[in-house]
Amino acid sequence: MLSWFNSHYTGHAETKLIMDVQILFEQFINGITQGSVYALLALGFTMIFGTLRMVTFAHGEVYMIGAYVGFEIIRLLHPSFFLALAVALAATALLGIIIEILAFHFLRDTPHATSLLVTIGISILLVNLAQLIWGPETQALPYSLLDKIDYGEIEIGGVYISFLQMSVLGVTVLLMAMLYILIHKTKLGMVIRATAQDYEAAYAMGVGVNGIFMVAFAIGSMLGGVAGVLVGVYYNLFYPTMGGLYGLKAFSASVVGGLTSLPGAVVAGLLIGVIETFSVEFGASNFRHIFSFLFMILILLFRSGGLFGGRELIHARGD
Amino acid sequence: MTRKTLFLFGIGFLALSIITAGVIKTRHAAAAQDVVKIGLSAPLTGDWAEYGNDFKKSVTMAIDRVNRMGGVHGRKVELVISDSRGDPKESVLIAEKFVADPDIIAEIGDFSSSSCMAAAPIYEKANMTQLSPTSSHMDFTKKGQNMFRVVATQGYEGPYNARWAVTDLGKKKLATIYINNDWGVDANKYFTLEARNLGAEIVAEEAFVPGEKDFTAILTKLKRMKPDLIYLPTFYADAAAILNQAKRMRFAPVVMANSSLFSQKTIELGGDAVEGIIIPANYFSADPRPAAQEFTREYQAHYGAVPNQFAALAYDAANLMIAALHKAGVEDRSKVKDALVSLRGFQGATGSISYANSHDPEKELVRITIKNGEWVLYQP
Repeated sequence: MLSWFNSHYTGHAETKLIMDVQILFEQFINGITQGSVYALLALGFTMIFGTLRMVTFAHGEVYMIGAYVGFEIIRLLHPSFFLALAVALAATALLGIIIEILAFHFLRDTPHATSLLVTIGISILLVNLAQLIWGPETQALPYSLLDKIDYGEIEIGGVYISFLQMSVLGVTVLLMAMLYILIHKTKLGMVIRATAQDYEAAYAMGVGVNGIFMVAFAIGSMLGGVAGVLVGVYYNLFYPTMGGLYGLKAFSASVVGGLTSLPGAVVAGLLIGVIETFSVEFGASNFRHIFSFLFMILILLFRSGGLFGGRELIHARGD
Repeated sequence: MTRKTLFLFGIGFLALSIITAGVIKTRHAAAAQDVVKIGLSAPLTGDWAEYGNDFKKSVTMAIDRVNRMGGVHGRKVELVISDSRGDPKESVLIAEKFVADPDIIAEIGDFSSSSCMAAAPIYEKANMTQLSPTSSHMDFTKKGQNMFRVVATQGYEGPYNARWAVTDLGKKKLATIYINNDWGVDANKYFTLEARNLGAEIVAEEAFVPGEKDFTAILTKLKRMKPDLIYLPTFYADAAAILNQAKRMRFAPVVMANSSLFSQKTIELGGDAVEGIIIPANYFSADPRPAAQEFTREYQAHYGAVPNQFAALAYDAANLMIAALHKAGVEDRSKVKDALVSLRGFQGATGSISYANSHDPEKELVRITIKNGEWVLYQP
């Protein structure tokens, strides 16, 4: 498609220029892929915070469980990517509902910190459970199975992009759009928004708020599950602590995006991914996490409500 | 009152009789049978039980053979095995027990560096030799005059790999990707230091935090720099991820890594992408050197399984100790360390070992590679 990058040069200086463009493009693609994962996880955080006005720290572990469920489906049942995705979706939705009941349902009237601590406890519990079931070591799908779910790749100017890589970004954007429509255009969305604004008032108006909270938590967790399967298959590495670093990054993306804004979460996730990649290209690789968190601090210093929808957040705090 | 005193006396007498009985009994046994004892401290239960039992099997095998051949200086060698459970506190208690037994002349063990280093001061004070098959922490042998190891450290392996890459393979433009923990930083430091001394250029040294699984940014950068060889001081999951992502971007450099990758897991996780990777190993069952072949045969005949590097290192430790006792005699603990230092030309299953320059052995490691999904001997 863009192979003229390689064929249209004559001199040495031009060669270098063209190569630089190619490298930058390749790094950009690397960053977008990495960022899509952050974005997908950040969407889950945003969905949950947007409805419950509370943060969960077990989201990274939901992602990990989603990855392992996909792993087992492909390994034991059938090497199909979509079947793995479907089962992982169901499993993480169920897990989300369980977490909602344990950490939020019975603790609705307690201080926020209580629920927060319970989610931290659940995240530790899930990591240890995964270690018991699958062992602490890294697992991988056999390559004979992985070849069956390989959907090929395309070449753009010497850069190879796999369909799996594209589907991570595609799925992220698609899910964001679907969620946006769900929240802003449907009746369920209206009820979720009403509950988010003031759940006591919504309850008084006849909304089953407990059900709505569970639905929101299930949707948020399913997003984590999708990310888990996509990332697990893409890197082909499954290990109990895989949610830790990604969960933290995704949480920062969600905060930078404004905590309640779905497009904000996606844009911030992609930005963090690209910034990380370019900090490796132009600086040192051990600073990549420093740069991404520095970026987060800077954004929050100058726009305390995040990139998008900060006003809405402040509004919600004022009640 | 009197009854109570009587009772206490009774207890005291009972305790005294038990203690003296024990002492007299051991003295008796020693006098009657003329044995010399070697202590083995190893984790036989707990997380590292597998490795501790490898130790036990090899050391028992080596000592049985020596006894069949008439023992050392006319005495039978007896192995005293204690389970340290992988717990440094436990290995300290074992050390105290060993040094308190006058018949124990030297100790082999423990498995982990932290256990070895916790027990070291006690052995040092008693002037008893502590020979660890596997402790690789640089500071272990600096704990005193009596500490020795069999395994090669990063301080040795790093420069060894650098010589392999620069001198033997003629690679002059190198890049490294290393795990950012104390092990990885050390492994990278010793390699790059020696490589630079040999005149190679290090075009990039890229670190990643443990847990990071996306290496595409680092690899894209390295791809542009076109290094002759990439060195990976990492563990198998990281190396598998790095090489799979490199393969996806059509980047196929010459790759060298550490002995830490010598595991079936590397092949399981890496698939096609790890083909051709070269690493050094302490022990390899198909190593053609006679001492290694002999050990492999003997171990298989005894236990019906292919030994691993932990068994091989422990086997060498036992044989080194026996060789030292032949030289030092079996009366004086403090002579064992001098005998170990004066050993020349010891050929072990893990290579030739000499403590002439330091208590860290310098040995020729075996070079291996992955071919058709199997670890095989590297043929240049």
